[in-house]
Amino acid sequence: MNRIKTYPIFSFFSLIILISCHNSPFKNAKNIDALPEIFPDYSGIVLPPNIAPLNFTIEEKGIQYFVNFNSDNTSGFSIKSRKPEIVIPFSKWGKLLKKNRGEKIRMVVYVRGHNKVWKKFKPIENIISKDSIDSYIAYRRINSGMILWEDMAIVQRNLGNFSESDIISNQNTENNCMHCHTFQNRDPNNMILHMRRSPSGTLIKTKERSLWLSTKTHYTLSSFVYPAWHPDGQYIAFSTNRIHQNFFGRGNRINHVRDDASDIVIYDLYNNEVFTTPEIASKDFENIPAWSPDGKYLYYIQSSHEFKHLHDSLEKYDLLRIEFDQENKKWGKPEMLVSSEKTGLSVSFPQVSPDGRYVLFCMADYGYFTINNSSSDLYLLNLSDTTIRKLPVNSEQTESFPSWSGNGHWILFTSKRFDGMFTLPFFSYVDSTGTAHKPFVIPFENPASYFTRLTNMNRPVFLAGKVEYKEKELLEIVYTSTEKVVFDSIHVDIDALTHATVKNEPSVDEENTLYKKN
Amino acid sequence: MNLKKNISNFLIDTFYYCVFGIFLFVIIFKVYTPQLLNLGLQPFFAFDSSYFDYYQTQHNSIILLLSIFFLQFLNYPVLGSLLITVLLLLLSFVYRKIFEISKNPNPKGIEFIPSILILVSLKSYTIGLETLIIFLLAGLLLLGNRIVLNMKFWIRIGCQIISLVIAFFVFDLLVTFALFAFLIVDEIFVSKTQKKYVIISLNIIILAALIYLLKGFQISKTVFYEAASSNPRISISNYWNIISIHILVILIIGLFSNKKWVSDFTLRIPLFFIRNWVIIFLSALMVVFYSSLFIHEGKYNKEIEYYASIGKWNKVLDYKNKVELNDRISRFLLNQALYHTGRMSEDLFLVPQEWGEHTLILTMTFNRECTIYNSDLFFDMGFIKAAEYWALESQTNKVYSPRILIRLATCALLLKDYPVAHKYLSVLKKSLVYKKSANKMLTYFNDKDVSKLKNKMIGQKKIHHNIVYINNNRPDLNLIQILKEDKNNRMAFEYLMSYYLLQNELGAFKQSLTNYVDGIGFARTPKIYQEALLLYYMSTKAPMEQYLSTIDKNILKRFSQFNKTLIEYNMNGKLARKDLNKRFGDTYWYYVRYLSPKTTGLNIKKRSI
Repeated sequence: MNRIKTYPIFSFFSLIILISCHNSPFKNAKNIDALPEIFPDYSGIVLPPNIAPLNFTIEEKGIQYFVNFNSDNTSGFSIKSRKPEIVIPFSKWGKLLKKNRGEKIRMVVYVRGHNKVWKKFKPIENIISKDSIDSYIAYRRINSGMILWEDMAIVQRNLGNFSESDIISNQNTENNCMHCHTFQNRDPNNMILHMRRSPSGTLIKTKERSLWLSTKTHYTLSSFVYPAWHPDGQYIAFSTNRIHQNFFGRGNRINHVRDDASDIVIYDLYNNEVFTTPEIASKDFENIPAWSPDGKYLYYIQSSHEFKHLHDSLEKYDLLRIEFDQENKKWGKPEMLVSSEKTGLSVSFPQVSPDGRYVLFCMADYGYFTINNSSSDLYLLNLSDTTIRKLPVNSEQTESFPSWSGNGHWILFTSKRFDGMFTLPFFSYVDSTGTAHKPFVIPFENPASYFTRLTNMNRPVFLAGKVEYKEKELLEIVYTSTEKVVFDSIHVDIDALTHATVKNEPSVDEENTLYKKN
Repeated sequence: MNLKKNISNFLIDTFYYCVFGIFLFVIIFKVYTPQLLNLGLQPFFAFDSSYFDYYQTQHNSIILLLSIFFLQFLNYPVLGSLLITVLLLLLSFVYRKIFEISKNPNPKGIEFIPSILILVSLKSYTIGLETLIIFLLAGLLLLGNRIVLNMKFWIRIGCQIISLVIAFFVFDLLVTFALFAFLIVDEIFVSKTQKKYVIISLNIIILAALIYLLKGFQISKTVFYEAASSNPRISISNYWNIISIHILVILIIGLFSNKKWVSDFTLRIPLFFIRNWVIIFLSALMVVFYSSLFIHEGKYNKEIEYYASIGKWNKVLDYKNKVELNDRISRFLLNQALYHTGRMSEDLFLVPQEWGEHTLILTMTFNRECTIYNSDLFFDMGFIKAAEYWALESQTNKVYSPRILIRLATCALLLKDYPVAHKYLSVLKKSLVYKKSANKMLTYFNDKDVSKLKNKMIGQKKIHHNIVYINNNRPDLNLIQILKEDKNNRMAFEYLMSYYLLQNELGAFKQSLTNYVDGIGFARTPKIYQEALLLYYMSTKAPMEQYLSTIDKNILKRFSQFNKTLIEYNMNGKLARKDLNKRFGDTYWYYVRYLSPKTTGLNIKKRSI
């Protein structure tokens, strides 16, 4: 009797085991001595321990997929899928990263082909850094049009998960243009944003201040453009520019932004004053300011005014810095750091590392607005020995808008490497020797999004935390009356400024300069 | 007995619905053009998370996505007609149920009235379909509310709150108010509970709270709002009038479905048939009011665009005298029709040219509405880079427009930029409607198929890889570059000539004519060019014997008559205008004197229309 009863149970479990064995990828898998094709390429990278799951798509043809995540410390977990899109569970991923800080993790990919045979690929190995990455980034969501815009927003994205929210959207500001979002030392509580077309102005929001500024003065070329916030918070360096654009047909460049003139000015947030010095407001083109982490130096790029009337491809920018004594508002002498004459290239978007040892910047064959210039690559200047290194993070497409994380171990930059058209943020780990490791793209919850997302993630910057300001709060500031900034014409030698001085009221407004005839 | 009666009623009702359904299908299929309903709206629904994320960021309502899902099938005439028919029948059915629940002795067929109203509105190619879906869902909500009227207090209040919240986030705000009004009316006139005023107060508080919480933000944006707010050529005169129509129709149906109100009303009107005529009269009044809200010319806009999109350029020209001055896009399409019918160089002034060159090629004085048309123009010309450039600009109008996505994918393919083409095609293949064609294009990533595609799309024209700059302020410079690379590009030539003529730039016109006419192979110098040359020679005081023999005798004769007519009116241009228009309205001389923006001082603002 018992044998009769146990026989079916035994048979049932045997059958289960048999089926499991038959379907288990491990036993029958054919070993392939190559890494699997996955997109994005999350292989051989260094990851932060607090990054969201790196969901990816397996690009090997198959009918079933199996991925095992493991390490020397942990057995890990597995994912089985009938679709090539691999979506990694949050909690399991988080645990894996947490347990393997400073260690290696492996992703073993199995693919079952139409012939029902499993293939096992060479394990993908990645290293989990001990250094965390900043928890958020902020970027501008924008279409690919050059002149027109409609939907635009400054968005914050949590790097630990996939959540995104609009900090402010132009749908609530009459579809105007928002740009040059900047945060003081990655502090989400201190932000700047320009808006163009009504409502037009500069929004500055800190815990103590809410300002909506009209920044065009009688003595400056334009309203404030590219910003750099002093680490101590009182001063903000801005460029002022007379910009015009050329539009290229399809090819390496879609548009080229070129200045007819540019200077750098400093805005004193506490006193609502603008000042400058002749060295950074000359007839040459000073632009794209950046502060050193100790606030003692202002880094910027400069191009000779002689390029103004020459062909586009000849304008090149050097990298300089100038000392700034913030207590006395005194300036030193400009110091050349990277000469375009020597490199044959044009510098842009300098960013000093938090430890003050390096300057990260772009160099391209010409110009400064490198986002649409595929020749733009990232370089690192070692300030101690002035050597310049081209980083191994570059591609054939443009790399631009670099920035550093708070601990100086991660860099963030934009790249159009996937298709040459759409901008995505990439991260790279920089170790203590200043070596940048293989970059990886920002992860998305749906890995197919890389193929279907039609907006750009423009000018991403790190944030140390979430911006807690409600959009309503920011809009209330925007829709108050503008406060005009005041140029310190008493202490600044106006006549010494070759370009910051404008004898007559300028006839062009900031908007028209962008649409000037070629 | 009852069963027999029920079956009989069921069969009769089914018969009525079938007849009405067939009637609707035939009318829609034959009389309407379903694809026309989609022009401008460009519905695109993709099963894709990026797509849904995008729509979420636009603060769009669920009804928008629902509408778009249905509207996309209008690309197929039979399926589209069937879909509209089914929706209209459903609408009638829902309102019938509302009447049944209210136990109203309404005449048979009254439930078809809303469907007929919608059908009439469709003739203006406007937002009738979106209204239809709103009515349908509003009707369902009303129905739901009617069903729970006699239920317990807390169930009823719960259902009302849920329906208010749903309406608030799904519909227009004012449709929500309409539904809210019904809840109040029902409570006052129909509800048997003593706590009716408690319920009314609770509803008011909920609605006020919803409005307060989302104060200052767009609550929902329907297809209608999107079309009305972003498209200045939409065929309505007043957004609020349209919304009030929604409310009016819902109110009328709702009120007439309210048993008590109807009973009270009918006591004063003893005759049954007078009461029914009142209903019919009110309904007819609404039809008239509804139709009157649409700008008649807006209908022409759509038809012009439709015929242009299918290449029926002769039909486009039939509208030349029906186009408003401020309708830039229609005028632009009329000019294109002139080229495609081979009449641009002979009959340029057959179509109104009061905008000068600004309705020939769209330059910086545009809004995003116009950009896709410029893309079309340059695509036809073979200047693919410019076509792509303008398509990218137009994408700011509508990121997921299938027309724009197809253009971008095609341009990228022709430029052999396969990664970019892959991106756009990946989006398109997420749509049921475009999946097949997108998958087909994904197989074109090789030189052979790209070459075939190029020949199919632009024939023998060159793609102009070497032209570097897109000159969006001076398109003539790009046209000259095209001609330098491809002297046989007739379209670029005729557009360049027309551009200078419309700008009154006779010197540039003459120079370009000299430089490039040989590549085009005209049998003789076109009429308009001769008229312009005559003016040019006179303005440069060239000796008459130098040019008289090059100008056709008829043209010289007409010019002489033109001047004589002016003299007859003592050179008074105003007085002479009517006469000159009648006899010489098709000439360049008339244009220069009366129509050119340089003469009229027409203020063409940046970003007009």
